[in-house]
Amino acid sequence: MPDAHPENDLLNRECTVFTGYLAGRAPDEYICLHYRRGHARIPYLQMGGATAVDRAILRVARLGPLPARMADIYSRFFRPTGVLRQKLVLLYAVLENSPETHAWFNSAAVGGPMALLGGLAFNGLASAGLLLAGILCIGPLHLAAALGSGRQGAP
Amino acid sequence: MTRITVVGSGPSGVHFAQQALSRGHAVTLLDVGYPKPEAVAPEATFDGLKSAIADPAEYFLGSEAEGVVYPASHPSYYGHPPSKQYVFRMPDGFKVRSSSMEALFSFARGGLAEAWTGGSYEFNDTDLADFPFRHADIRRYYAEVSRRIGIGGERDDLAHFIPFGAEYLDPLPLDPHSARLMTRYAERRERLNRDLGFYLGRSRVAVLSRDYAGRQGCGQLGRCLWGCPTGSIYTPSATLKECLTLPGFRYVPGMLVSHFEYDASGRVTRMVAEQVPGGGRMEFEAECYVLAAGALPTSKIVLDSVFRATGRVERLGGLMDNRQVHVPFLTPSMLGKPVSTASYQFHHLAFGLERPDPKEYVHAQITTLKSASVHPIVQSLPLDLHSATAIFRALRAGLGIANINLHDTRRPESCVTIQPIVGTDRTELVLNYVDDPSEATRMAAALGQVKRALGELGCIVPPGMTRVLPKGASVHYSGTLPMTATPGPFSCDANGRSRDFPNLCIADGAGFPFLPAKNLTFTLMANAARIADRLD
Repeated sequence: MPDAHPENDLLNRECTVFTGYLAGRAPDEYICLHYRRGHARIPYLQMGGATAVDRAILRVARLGPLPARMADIYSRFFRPTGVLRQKLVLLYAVLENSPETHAWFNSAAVGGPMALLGGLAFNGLASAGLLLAGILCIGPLHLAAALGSGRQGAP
Repeated sequence: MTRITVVGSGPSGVHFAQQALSRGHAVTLLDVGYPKPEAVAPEATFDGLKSAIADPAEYFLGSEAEGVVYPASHPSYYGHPPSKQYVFRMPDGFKVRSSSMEALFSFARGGLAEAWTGGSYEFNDTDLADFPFRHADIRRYYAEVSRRIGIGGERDDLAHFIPFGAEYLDPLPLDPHSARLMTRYAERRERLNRDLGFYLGRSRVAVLSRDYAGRQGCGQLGRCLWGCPTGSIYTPSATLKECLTLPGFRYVPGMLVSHFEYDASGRVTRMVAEQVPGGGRMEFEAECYVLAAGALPTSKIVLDSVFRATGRVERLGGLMDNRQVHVPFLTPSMLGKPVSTASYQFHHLAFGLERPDPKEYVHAQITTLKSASVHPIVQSLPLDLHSATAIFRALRAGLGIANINLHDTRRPESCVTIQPIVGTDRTELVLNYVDDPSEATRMAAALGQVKRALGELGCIVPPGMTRVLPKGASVHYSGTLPMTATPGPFSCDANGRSRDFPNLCIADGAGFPFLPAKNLTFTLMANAARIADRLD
């Protein structure tokens, strides 16, 4: 059922996509509640709201877990303190402190060196591939938004 | 018996008070004194807490997620947890302006050391070269403070730089990563000492390895950063509690001391405070007055007192603070090993670097990663958060950080002053810290030495992740009202007695004429006890 506050509804949908990306699962109400609560104090809102560039990146990230990951790696290099990274870091902090999800974030991967090195290589390559895809897909949007830039206090 | 008024309940204030009480003096301690909140689920481990309490996200992040560390141009590997917010809460009546350092203040019961990591290192005669006393003069006070608070330590290679004069408890058992580093050091010790001037040993920390003096030994809960729930890590509020049981002691919280008044001869006649909250004026009279509010608040009290009496705005030169650098490292031989977050979280190891000029000694503490807030760390990796998490989990058992401290010297251009606030009778404290021009060169040399030494220990220092913390981050402020051998304005004698105000003592870091790289808190406590013993 949609939330009575449209802004909450949008944040809940965003929380669902981003939790799918970061934790591979759907968020429970506890996670959404803390995401919304934290979002009210997120730094970019105090700094004049999202710019056109941030909104363009966010639109891509909200499409689903994989686009969110692509937008994340793109932001890490080209918008490191931007709105998407702030939102993802907020949610990450909530997930690492929530009863249902903390265990994964607070543990170490245990195993032999080959398995660990394989995992490292796989994740490194996946990141590199997604960065390339992000440059191709988000780069033009970034450029277009920057050329007609504006700032707006939307979530 | 002398009637003494002490300002501040930090490490200097409480150890001055305890020593003075032991000599039969009557002590009134004025303090804003924001209290520590009750410990939440004191038996729960770091991980257990996240399942044991109703709202773990609120505990770890705060009610408005103020504990989240966001991406920033000057990022940090950790932030101040909400459970420690009381330590950094500022009363409305205390204003500060600074563009040159990010200073922290505390008006909590116990002061800034309520949030320290317990590093306790005696100064040697090289460190004390600018002080008007030697190690032999303060040794018994180190021993006395160590007996009171319980410090774990071992006689090891750190004794090359750090006297082992006090009595120390057995240190905590090493975590597996720290043990690995110690083993490797033992194998290459001679070469590290000879070629790199690198000496590794056990951190000397004010944390109990067993029940001691009515406090519980470390329960390995992994909650050190959020505030040890069992009191195993010493904080000055523990000594304040002891003082409250002693005859002749009066604790007056809710007092923000603004200034003192003095007569024509410079003798202080009363301390003036405003009530917090409320703002009502309160006056306290005594025979002797002691400022132990921390170097910066103490400086403001002196500056405000002179301003109110004469209209002069003075400046106090010589402001010092240690530069801190965080060097993250990875020990590949630890990869794939399990990590227990139910473990003492802070540093087990410390090292010293020999420098051509012994006063430029570099001191560092090594913290291997156990329990931690993960989000500040993963966001710093040059990856998306998903991959960063996977890689962080794979590397976690081998991650550590060396927290390096550089010494600082008194320079007249680094100063504090006050600025009257128009339309009020208040002033704001103005900090003008000026970097030592030689610091960059010293830092580069030290970092080169550290990276080579860590390499010898089998560690990798990832490029681009070393972080020079902003000035003010070490919270070792000192030097504005120094103890000197020769008299001068705004200075103290060897016994902390002000040369401007004969019945006023400076018992905190403001009185330090030099700031070695070692953590200064143990010396603050020992020196305050030494000054208290010399009141008569």
